[in-house]
Amino acid sequence: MPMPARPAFLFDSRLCTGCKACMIACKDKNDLDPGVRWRRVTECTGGEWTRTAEGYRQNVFSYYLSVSCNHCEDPICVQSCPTTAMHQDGNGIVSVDPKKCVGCKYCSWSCPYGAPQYSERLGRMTKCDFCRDEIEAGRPPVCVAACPSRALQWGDLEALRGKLGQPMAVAPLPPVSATRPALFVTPHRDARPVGSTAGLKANPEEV
Amino acid sequence: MFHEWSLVLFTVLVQMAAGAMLLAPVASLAGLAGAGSGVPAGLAGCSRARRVSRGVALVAAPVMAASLLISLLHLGTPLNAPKTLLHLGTSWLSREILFTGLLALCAVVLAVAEGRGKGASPVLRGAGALAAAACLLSMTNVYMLRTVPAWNGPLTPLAFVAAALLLGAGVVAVAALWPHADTDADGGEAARPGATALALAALVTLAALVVHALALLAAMPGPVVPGGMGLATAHLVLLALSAGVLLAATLRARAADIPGALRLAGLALALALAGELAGRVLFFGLYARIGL
Repeated sequence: MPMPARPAFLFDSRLCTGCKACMIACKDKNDLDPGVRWRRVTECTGGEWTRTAEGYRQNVFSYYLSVSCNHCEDPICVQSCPTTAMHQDGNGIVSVDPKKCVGCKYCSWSCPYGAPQYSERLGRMTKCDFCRDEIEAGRPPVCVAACPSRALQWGDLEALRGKLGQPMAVAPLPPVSATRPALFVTPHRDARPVGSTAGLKANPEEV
Repeated sequence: MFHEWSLVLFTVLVQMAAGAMLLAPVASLAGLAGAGSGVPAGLAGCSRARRVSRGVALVAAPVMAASLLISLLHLGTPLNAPKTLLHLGTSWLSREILFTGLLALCAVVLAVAEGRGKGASPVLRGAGALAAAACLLSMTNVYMLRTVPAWNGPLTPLAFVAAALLLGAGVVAVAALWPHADTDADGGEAARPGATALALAALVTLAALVVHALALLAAMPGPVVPGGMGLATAHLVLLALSAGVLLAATLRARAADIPGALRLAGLALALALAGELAGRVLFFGLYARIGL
């Protein structure tokens, strides 16, 4: 696929098994330092077992969300960056200019996806650039290419809008209105609505 | 907890300097020192105004210089610091850095002018007060992020303005009481501030204490902060003690014990600083953004 006018991610939570091949492919391709994760797979888990007259019943649920930078249409990281190091190009791809970044971390405070990641080694912010080099070479982003269940896809934002409607979100993602992400999520059957606290992040050490 | 020690120190110290530079012209205009006895009112008032202006400038300049150095500790690549002024159009952080720099510049120029013994012009003092106001406004907006609910409410403006007024009043009180050869020669002991100045400083402290308590209530229920109850208690108790010590200083001043009043005003300022630092650690601990 050639470079779309505005690339967007499409994540089908029904298909994701939480294998984290997308995270590892991203870390491998970009040689990311330990602790720096441009893509993270969050496991949202909740429910309980209750004793009834007939025995125990459960409503336990668990689902995964694979999230990187969503190259938002209203990117709060770009607006708040004091140096203009965090910038958005004509394709809507948000990236960091290391020559300008002062390493103040203000972008990571504000991003509701935790997308900008600070590198202690570099003293600067780092983040997903949608694998621009891969896309320009006619290949998909490595996270998409690595997904064994095809849960993670990518395409043109407007084309996906025409096919799927407006992007939507589920807990624990922020509301779409916060930054207007270029991310379409197909909810898992047990997905909780945005703002729900019924589920907890079951793998905080991994995200 | 969200540990940003350099930012805790930076924000509190800048607010102290900004509060003092905002209150100093007000204190001078209002003749806070009160009427002296045996000295022409104009002479005594002029001497008191200079005493406050000089003291505040001599405190604000080194405090602002230290604050700017401390702020560099927060940066991963300090050499790129000049580039933080490139995004004034949309970034409140860029604006905060601009106005903090201007405030530091005003403080240094005021200190140099006062150090030469001629006193700073009212225009320069006014510029300092304006820079202080702009600095407080931009600093407040830096933390009012729409993705951080605990900060994006009344807590941030109330806590920051209360801190600036409270610490600023403390600095003005100490500056007004500090002995100085040439201003003392103008009006003698009577040129020192009266009990009115200290009583007003105590009143500002008490009012700021109430605002701080309201700000904490506004932040409830908020994210759970480890040790948060202890920090909130230390914050409010230290500020209450500061107000009490300022009231004691007022009584000393009424009894014409100026050295005693100065010692107590210094203690009150130290207590206020400790209280604000505890409150600021709690403020940063309340950080929790929406989403992931």
